[in-house]
Amino acid sequence: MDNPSCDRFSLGSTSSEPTGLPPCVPKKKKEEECEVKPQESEEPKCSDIITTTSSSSTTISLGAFNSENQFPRTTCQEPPHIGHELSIAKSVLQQYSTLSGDNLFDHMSDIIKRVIDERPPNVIDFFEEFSRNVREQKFHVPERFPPTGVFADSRMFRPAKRILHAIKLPQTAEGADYAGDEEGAEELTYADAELHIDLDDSMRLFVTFNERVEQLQFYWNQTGFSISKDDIFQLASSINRLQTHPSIMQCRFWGCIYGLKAPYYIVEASLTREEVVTRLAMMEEEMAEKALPMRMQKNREPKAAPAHVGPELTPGLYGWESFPYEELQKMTPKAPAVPLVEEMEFYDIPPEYVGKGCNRYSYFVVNNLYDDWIELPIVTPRQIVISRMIKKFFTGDLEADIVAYPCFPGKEKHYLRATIARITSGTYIAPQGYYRRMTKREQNLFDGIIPDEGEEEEEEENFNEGEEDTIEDNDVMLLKNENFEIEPLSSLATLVAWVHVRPNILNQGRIVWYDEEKARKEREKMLALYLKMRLMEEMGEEAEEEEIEDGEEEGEEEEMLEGFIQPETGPPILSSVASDMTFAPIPPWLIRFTSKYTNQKERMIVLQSNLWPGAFTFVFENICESVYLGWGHKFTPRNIPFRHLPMVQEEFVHGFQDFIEASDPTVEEELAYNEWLLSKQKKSEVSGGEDDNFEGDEMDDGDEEEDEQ
Amino acid sequence: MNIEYFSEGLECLMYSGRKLSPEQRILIENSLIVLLQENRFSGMYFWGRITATKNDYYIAFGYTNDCLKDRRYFYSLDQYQWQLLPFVQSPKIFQATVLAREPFVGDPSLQMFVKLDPTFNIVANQVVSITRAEVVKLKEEERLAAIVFIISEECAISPRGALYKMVDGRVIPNQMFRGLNDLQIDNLSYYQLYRIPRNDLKTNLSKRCDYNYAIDFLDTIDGVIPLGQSFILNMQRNDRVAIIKSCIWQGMTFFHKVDSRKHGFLYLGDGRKNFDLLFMY
Repeated sequence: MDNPSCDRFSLGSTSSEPTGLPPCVPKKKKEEECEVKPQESEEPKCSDIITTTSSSSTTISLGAFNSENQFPRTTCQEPPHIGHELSIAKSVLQQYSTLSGDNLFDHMSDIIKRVIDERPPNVIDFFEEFSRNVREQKFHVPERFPPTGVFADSRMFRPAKRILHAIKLPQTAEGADYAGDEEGAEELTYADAELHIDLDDSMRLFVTFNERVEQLQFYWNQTGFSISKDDIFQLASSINRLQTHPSIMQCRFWGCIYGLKAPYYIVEASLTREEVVTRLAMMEEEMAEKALPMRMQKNREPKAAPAHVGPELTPGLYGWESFPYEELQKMTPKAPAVPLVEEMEFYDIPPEYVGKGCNRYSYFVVNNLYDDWIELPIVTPRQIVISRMIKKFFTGDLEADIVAYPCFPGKEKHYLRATIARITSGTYIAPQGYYRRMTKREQNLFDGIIPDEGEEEEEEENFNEGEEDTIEDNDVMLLKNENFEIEPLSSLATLVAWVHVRPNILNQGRIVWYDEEKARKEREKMLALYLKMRLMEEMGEEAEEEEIEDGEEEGEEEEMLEGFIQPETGPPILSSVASDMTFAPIPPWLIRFTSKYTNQKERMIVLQSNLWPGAFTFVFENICESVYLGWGHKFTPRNIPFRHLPMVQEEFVHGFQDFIEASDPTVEEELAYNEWLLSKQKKSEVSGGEDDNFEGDEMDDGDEEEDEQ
Repeated sequence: MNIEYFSEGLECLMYSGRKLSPEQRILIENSLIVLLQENRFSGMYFWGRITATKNDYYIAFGYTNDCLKDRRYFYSLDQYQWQLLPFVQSPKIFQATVLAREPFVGDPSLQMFVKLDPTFNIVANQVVSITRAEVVKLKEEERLAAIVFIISEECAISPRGALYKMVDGRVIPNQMFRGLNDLQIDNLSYYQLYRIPRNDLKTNLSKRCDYNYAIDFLDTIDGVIPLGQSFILNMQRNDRVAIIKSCIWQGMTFFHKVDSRKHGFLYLGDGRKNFDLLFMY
């Protein structure tokens, strides 16, 4: 800041006071030229100005400035003198703050400079804010903080780096290698492609997913629901990465579920037949193990009951210390034993096999499109059933716990998977005739089996009487109808013209009904057989192959449960959307056109689900796609009927014997007790397990007695 | 969302998964500019859409002097003819709006009957008498006005410093606002509710150590009950855009770009409150 300009500035500002404005302006230049000259004619007015504006501050600060020798001595004249007063005023303004080392004079000149340079609108309204801004920026001047001194990573840096990394660009640094690599890569892909064709030629027929995300993005954009434009390219490239994986046959963008911390981008994929076969083998083994009755499972041998459970004796009641040691040993405790934990047998409805039912497709998710895809686990019926009863936010962390009642069996990834299964079966729709069922030949080709006669018959039956075999029928993959021709949109604007193209999930949590009762009986039979075998082995006799007769009890049960064995049915696949269940006044789907008034030729029809807010389906010529972009919550009319917690269970009933005042044992008594314990342990080891059983019975008796009391 | 940067704002708000189709965008943007001219507003904002079963409602508001007190709301069914939304004062209408379960239909003149909750007179922890549940006649237009008012009261957001209270008490958009910086952008206490403050001025000021009378008079969103659960903030687009979604009124999305004055909120939803919120975390 140069001095002359400042001088002019300070003078201007003082002279802009209303009283002195006209006379002072002409005086300005004169004053600058000869500050020393006294100006008698203007003296009274000038002094007026200064005294009126800042008289108090001058008098206060005068003393301070005298000591610092701030204002020039040469101008020291008689008190009513313009130059003198001005310099005093200036020096007051220039007083440095002891806190920030700044002064008002510089600040004000900065503000004025900024206002004149930048000409912001209505500065006077935001003057304080503006002044604050100016001052804030002053602290960032490069002299104080040299730009190279500290350099913090900007927020964008890390994601930018990760994105670049994820794209896997060829390194340009090694120019020579680059070309070679490229060729090699190309060859590789060619080889891959050839291999692919050899293996999967038959499966090519069954690719029904539209994986061209960027093309779909165009339509999504038209319909007014979509993910961001920037993301779509990344999505396309990352789906491409997934697609090239050898175990994936086809994939499509399923949609997006928002979480608290991060959203999930979800891709639906169907696996190649080889992959399904290998997974199936593993899964079958595991399931067979689980389906066994508990006592037949490995590592489930009944453990011997612990020797000492509960109080050994009730000291105090009988005055046991006065009894001789021999008698003490014969005594049995009167207090009830602590109950042992009993293992309950519990069987879930088994999940559907990989490649069947709910687990026909597998789902891959990712939080950021530049990360690697993570496959979700298979879904079990129990998870689906429980996920219907709860409503939770997704967090964006696959391993997060689901804290809910009823307790959800699994982590967030399981909940996510169950939700995806429910949404897909509920909202994946298409115009009637867009998809068709596979023919018998195609079905066989798809399953990779050579048809034999029995199966053919079954197939025929299926085709002939669809109603009987809806359950069988439901779990199929549909193919696109090559002969599909779109009807005029106006005729598609009714719900009747739309059908579900994914099978309905039963209340049981499966697509194909599972007979629990039958499974239970089989298990019982197996267990009985197994026990018999064990018994025979123990007896040292040969195991005889005998059919186990149904006991009387079982017969009774069968009769009683006859009614429940009726298989549960739901709406079959390809049933009309119009018959969707919904809450009274709300239609299941909303139908909207993308253009009402203008573009009649190229408009599309959009169906929005009301049951799953966020699910959309559009159709345009022969492209029909469903996508879900939402929170993963089903519609509820007001709030979800959460299950109440059960009443707190009645606790162990205390008898008077449980609260006995007793004096603390002395050291000798404790030692004696320990010794007694040891001897008893030794004794029980010698005598074996039968004694324990006997004692246990005794204890139970004691329990009953007490209850009666 | 300010119509000055309409399409840009829509792009940013697409993280809610929804936006407008091209036809809607063109119609709304241009008809709002016309509306702004005709009413001589100083600012015009697109508020959002409320999904109805037959026709969706599109809502916009503008202001002349004070952008908090002076707001005037408009609704449109066809995206280009805007009608003034009535101002609802009766508390009964608000009660009925909150209790109404039926979806919006898309016919402003439609009447529905809503049964209010019964009222209990309680003296010394004993229920003395029960008043019968009252049945209120609710016109859809009034219901719409009430729901728009409630939603914008509860979850319309502006970044700290975007609104400026002048010496005469008027609140106007801050011309000097340069956006929140890198460090402030992901902090919920730097976002305020776009409404006439309900908290005491002192309460709001004392929340900050660097308080500023002119900009800290608004309630911040980190104090909205349930604490820490009402809003979620995500950083998107290489951490350059902050997206705040309301968990109470799902469908309300707010965006703010780092170091830029561009910000805005938009509601695209069906006007239903999330009553399950407390069970969902």
